[in-house]
Amino acid sequence: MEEEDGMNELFNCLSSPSCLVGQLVTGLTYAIFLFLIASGLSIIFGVLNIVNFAHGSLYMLGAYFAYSYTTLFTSKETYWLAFFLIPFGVAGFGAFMEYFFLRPISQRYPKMAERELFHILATYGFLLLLDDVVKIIWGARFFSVSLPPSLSPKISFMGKVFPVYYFFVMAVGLVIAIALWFWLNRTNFGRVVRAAVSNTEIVASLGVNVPALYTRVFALGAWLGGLGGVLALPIRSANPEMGGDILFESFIVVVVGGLGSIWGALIGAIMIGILRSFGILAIPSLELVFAFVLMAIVLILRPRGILGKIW
Amino acid sequence: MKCRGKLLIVALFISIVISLLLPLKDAFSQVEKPPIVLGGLFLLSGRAAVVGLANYHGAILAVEEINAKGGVLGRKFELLARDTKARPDQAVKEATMYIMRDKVDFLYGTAASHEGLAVAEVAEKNKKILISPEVTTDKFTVDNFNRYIFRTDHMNRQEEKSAAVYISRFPYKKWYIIGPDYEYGRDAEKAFKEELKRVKPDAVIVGEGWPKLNEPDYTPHIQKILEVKPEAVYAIFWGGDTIAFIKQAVGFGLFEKTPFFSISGVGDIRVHEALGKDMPVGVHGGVKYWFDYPYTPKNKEFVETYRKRFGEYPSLFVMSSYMGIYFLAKAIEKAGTVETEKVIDALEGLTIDTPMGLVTMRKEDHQVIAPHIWGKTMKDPKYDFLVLGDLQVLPGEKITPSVEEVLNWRKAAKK
Repeated sequence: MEEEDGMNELFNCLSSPSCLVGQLVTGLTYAIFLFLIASGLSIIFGVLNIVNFAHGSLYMLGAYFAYSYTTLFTSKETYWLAFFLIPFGVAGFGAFMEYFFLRPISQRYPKMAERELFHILATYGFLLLLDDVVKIIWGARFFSVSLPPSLSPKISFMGKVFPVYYFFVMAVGLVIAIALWFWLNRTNFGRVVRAAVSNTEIVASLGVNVPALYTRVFALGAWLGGLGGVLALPIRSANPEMGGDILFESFIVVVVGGLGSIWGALIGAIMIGILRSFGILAIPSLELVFAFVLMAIVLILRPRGILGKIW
Repeated sequence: MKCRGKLLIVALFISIVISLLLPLKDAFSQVEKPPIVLGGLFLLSGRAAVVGLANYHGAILAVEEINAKGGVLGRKFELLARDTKARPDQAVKEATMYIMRDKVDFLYGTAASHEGLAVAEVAEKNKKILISPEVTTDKFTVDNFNRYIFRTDHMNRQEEKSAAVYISRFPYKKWYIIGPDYEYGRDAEKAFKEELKRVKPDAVIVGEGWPKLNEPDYTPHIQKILEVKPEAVYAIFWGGDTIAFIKQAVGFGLFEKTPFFSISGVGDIRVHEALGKDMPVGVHGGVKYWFDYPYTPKNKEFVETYRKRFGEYPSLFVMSSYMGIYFLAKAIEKAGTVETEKVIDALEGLTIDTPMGLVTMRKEDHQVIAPHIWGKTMKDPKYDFLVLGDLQVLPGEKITPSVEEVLNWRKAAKK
């Protein structure tokens, strides 16, 4: 019975432009959050070969730092300052993590299998550590901030009301995606990074400081994660479990889109976001299942992911 | 030489005397009787840590107050506390260790349904009383009831009946129900639907939403509600989920169009504090305790003491736990002993005075009969968060299923 009503609702929505638009906008916004986190995860894996289990925690740190910042400096538009500054703070933390904990592992264990295992242990350790540190410093409560006043107004779009903020998030996502592509394909730094991925030894023998490169790329990944957290804070709440939640879904996105691919992360994120938005209409109780089914289909038909390069 | 030798002998003599007298010092301080040990099982980590912490703090305050007045039967309460991590196997392990290793007199705590039911079995097997301040599943006092367990929290059925009765006072007929997709959410919804049908037979459920527990993004659900256009929404969110849902729904103008009724979500002071001025005015919340009610000196004193001790206003999860310790204390006093069977007899039918007023522990199912409060959010210049006002109190007797109903459910469950 539930399924019949659900399918009815889905068809009704698909045939109603306003409903369609509503679900698309919400799906895309959700997708952008996933994309920001997943792209960071993907880049770190693509370049450093590290599966960063602490990536969700970096997102979490972004949210908590932004919360503390906006509550310490209470002027009307503090959120903007937080938006521009906090991701760099998280990037700094990422660099610290990589330099003191992950780089020594790479240097001590040249064999890939060992190195990957210890990297995973180290990043997972950070996940556990950060979850508790957050609880110690900020407590177990939920924190939230208001939408910044400049982004609070609502837009009427095809009979539905949306806060401007959601369009802002989509815009940010698009800008970041383009910027990442530009960075990777059109700048020197990006070129060196791509070369290092193809053949690390030759790049190193050409005089490039590969370890420093790695730290910078890790910091970039952390920056993306932190940005995700800052963006999430006004519309979600900061809580000690948020890292684990988003990490789980980001892994799905990365598997679907392809490890190491930025556009893949975007495509994967969009697919999951849209699927979720419409899936909820059809079968409310199976919300979680859609992402898994998609992942399973992709793994069967194209195990390396839609745009995956590494495997 | 001779002087030093004498000095040495005197020093030796004195130290021998002191070491002989030292044990006697302990004997003197042991004029106090041994403490009554409570094995506390609280949810101190994970998502519901806010709830477990509130339970824990409520218990601490009660224990400290009771001890300050000399304890019970001249013995002080000693509250041990361990984290069950919301895992029934962990809760059972801690409970068993409490009984075997720490030789506790009573078990106190558990909040999540599965851990409560699991520890209930431990209590029965070992003939130890378990008082739970937070388990809401009906099963605790119905299907899985045993003589040794008591509940100072409302059961799902009481809360949902309270919601249905309150809602029947409004003209809304077409309802949308939304709640977290796990056992509590589903149980609550089932009970709500049954109770709503009883008091408002013309009510119709026009849609349902089941986001996962701790869903970070409710926007598709919110869109769906706006599409369906119900006359009102009934939400079963609690804690952080309420905060996230309301934050996001405000952005889409949900509360301007649609009356919103929240059970144990709105009315949770932590939710009000987190939302601050982003909380919409005029949404309804139903809770087992709102700090500003009743306006009695006893409640005022309780709130002040709690604030001084823990630096925040007591939430709904504090009172049921505070009450639980007092029930135990009064029962032990009444029984004149800590013997399990006698304390059980004393607890059954016991009425105590709490900051919420008089609360009774029903004999047949060991369930407290306590009032439930509904109200609407409104601004109050005294606070920088919204308060619950226009309060309507539903007395315990009105919302509690009758003994006959409970016994019938038990019979049906046994089949």
